[in-house]
Amino acid sequence: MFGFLANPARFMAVSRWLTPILGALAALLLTIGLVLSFSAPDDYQQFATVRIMFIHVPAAFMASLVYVCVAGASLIGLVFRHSLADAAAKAAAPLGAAFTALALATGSLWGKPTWGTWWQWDARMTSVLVLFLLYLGYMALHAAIDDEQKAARAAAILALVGVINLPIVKFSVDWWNTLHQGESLFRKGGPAMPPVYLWPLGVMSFAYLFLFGALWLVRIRTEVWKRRANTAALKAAYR
Amino acid sequence: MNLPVLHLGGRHAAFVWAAYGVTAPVLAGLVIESLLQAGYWRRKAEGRSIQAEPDLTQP
Repeated sequence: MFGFLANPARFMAVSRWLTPILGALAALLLTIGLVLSFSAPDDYQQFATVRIMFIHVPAAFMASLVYVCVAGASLIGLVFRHSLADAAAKAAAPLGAAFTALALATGSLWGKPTWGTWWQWDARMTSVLVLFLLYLGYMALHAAIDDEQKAARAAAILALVGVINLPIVKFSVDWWNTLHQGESLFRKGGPAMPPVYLWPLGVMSFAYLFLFGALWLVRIRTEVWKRRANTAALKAAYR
Repeated sequence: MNLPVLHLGGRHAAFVWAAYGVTAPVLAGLVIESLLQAGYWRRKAEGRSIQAEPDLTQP
C-alpha cells in the first residue's frame, strides 16, 4: 500500500478522487451525529453534559490516532528518506494539535459541571497536555529549520521520542488513580454505555475519522504542490 | 424528532453550547484553512508551469 502510494504522481491521482469521498462521508456523518447527539436524552448523572462526550471522546481518540500517523510517517521518512512520508507527517501535525486542543477544551467544559473543576493535574489530563505540547514542539521545530530535509529529520526524531507518551495517555487511567474515569468503551464485558449514547458517539467518531482523512490528504497534496512550486522557482532562478 | 437540548434552559446548557461552540469554528477553520492553502499552492505550482514531475522519492 505504502509502496503503491509512495509515487507522488500516483498519490496525487488517488487522493484526487478519494479526498471528496472522505469529505462527503464526514459531512454526512457529522450531520447524522449532530441530530443523534441533540436527540439523545439527558443522562441521570451527567444531565445535558453527556452531549459533550459525543465531541470530546472522538477528539481525544483522534488526538492519539493522529500522533500515531505523525510518528509512523516520520519513521518511514527517517528510514527510507522518502519526502512524501515527511510531507505526510508534517501535514498531519496541525490536525492532531487541533484535535488535542479540542479534547482539552471540551473535557474542561465537561469537567466543571461534573467534577466541579476546570482542570486537575491528574495523569490522563496531564499526559494529553504533554501530547499537545509535543505537537506544538514538532511544528515549531519543523518551522525553525530552513532546510526541508534537516527540518523533517529533526522533527521526526522528536515525534518518535514522543511516542512514549501514547501508552501513558491510553493506560494512565489504569496505572494511576485519576479523577478522569476509567475505560468505558473498549473494556471487558462491553461498553459501559447504553446504545442511545453509543450511537451518537460511534457516528461522531467515524465523522472525525473521515474528516481527518480528507483534510490529511488535502494537506499532503498541498505539500506536494508547495514543493513543485519551489522546485520550479529554483529551476527558473538557475536559468 | 425530539431535540431536547435545543429547548434546554437548565444550568448545564451553557457548558454544552460552549463545547459545541468551540468545536464548530475549530473544525470549520481547519477545513477552510486547508482548502485555501491547497488552492494557493496549486495555483502557484501551475503558474510556474512545471513540465516534469519532481522526483520526491529521492532525499
